[in-house]
Amino acid sequence: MSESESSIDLTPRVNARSNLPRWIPGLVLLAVALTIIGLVWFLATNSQSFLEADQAVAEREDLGDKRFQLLGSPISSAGPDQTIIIGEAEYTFFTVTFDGVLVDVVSRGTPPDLFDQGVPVVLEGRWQDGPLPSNDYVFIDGANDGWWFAADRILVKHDNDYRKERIDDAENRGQPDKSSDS
Amino acid sequence: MKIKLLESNDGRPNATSSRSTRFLGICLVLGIPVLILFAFVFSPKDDTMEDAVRLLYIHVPVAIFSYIAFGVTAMGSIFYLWKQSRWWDTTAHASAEIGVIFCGLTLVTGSIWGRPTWNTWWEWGDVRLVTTLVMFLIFIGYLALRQVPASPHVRAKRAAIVGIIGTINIPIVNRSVEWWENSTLHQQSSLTDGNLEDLTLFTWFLGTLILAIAYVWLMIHRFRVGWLSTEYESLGYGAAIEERKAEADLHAGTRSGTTEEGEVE
Repeated sequence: MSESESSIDLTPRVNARSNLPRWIPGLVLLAVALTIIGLVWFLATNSQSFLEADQAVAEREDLGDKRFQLLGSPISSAGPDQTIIIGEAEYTFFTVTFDGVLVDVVSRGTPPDLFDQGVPVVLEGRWQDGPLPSNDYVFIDGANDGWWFAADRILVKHDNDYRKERIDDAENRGQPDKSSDS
Repeated sequence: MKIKLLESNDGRPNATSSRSTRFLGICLVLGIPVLILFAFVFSPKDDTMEDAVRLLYIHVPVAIFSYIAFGVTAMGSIFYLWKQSRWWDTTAHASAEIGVIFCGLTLVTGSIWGRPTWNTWWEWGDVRLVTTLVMFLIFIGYLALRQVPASPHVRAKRAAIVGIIGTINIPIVNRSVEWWENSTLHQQSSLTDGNLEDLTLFTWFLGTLILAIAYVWLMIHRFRVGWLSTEYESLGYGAAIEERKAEADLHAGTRSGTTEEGEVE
């Protein structure tokens, strides 16, 4: 073998980037597939997660002390007389409605800024029966049936109407018609 | 040699801009301040949400154009698998990158919207939010897959499959507020319900128009970058082949000389 021949490197060149494991594409495809399966599972199990107030009342016995999300619309905005400090905690007392069924609510903490009459809210908590945190409190125009919903979180489900003259579809959304009151 | 091949006929290096993209860019430069004026000055506050309503003018358009971008990716992917054309693969790739940016913006602006409106930044149980996040992650996966070393065809084929599968999620995201109304805090479409009017509607339309121009502008530039990158890559392959041929010639010449020498000896 001559000197010039031995100086040529005849070993096949390997692209440095191709040294990455070959299973990476499979892993990415697997991740995508698992994501889609997870999504389908999530959608299949998570539907109807908010219980409308009328449903929650109908299923009250079955629900027991199970924590769930209740959907309803406050029949009035939270006034100062509805907020009571008991011990070190602040409680707000209000009533929500859906399809004409009333649910009295005692919520720990201050309601969010958008909390208002006729604006649907999602309340997280559980059913309670028996005395209220404030024994002498009476819900004005409320259910006052001995049951109340103990909420510790209030989320606002804002509607999609941005017109000046809002025509709240009270029947479809099960909320009091705010525009007629204001 | 490489630089020479990347030059156009008139001797200037190939670039991603052209007269049409410069026109679109000027439209954007002029349009964005006008949109800001309408969004923050001329359009009214909402009675309930007050200033938070102004997020509508960016959140909804970026969401719409993330759907469109991923839709274009799916179309490019289908056409790539059918025609095996690099043009379609580059289109799909470019649109996916822009779609990921828009989808990320949708999630961020939606979260900023959620805090004052819903009283939460994020809800893991919310169907609209989670399906949008999944869409974002799928296309992050699409872009990651494109970085995995492979031949251009194999890489494009793998990406096309993920691009098509990922697009199945778009109608789920879009219709989730209707199909699972009681599993999301997200409102239904204001536009299709006719719940936008006057300056609010006009500003929303303006925002959508600006985003449309931005999408087309970004798309053309990103497509051209992708196309030039592939050109450069094939240039590298061509140069490597030439190099190996030269080495082979040298090797053949050397061996021939050695044989001759041997014969002489």
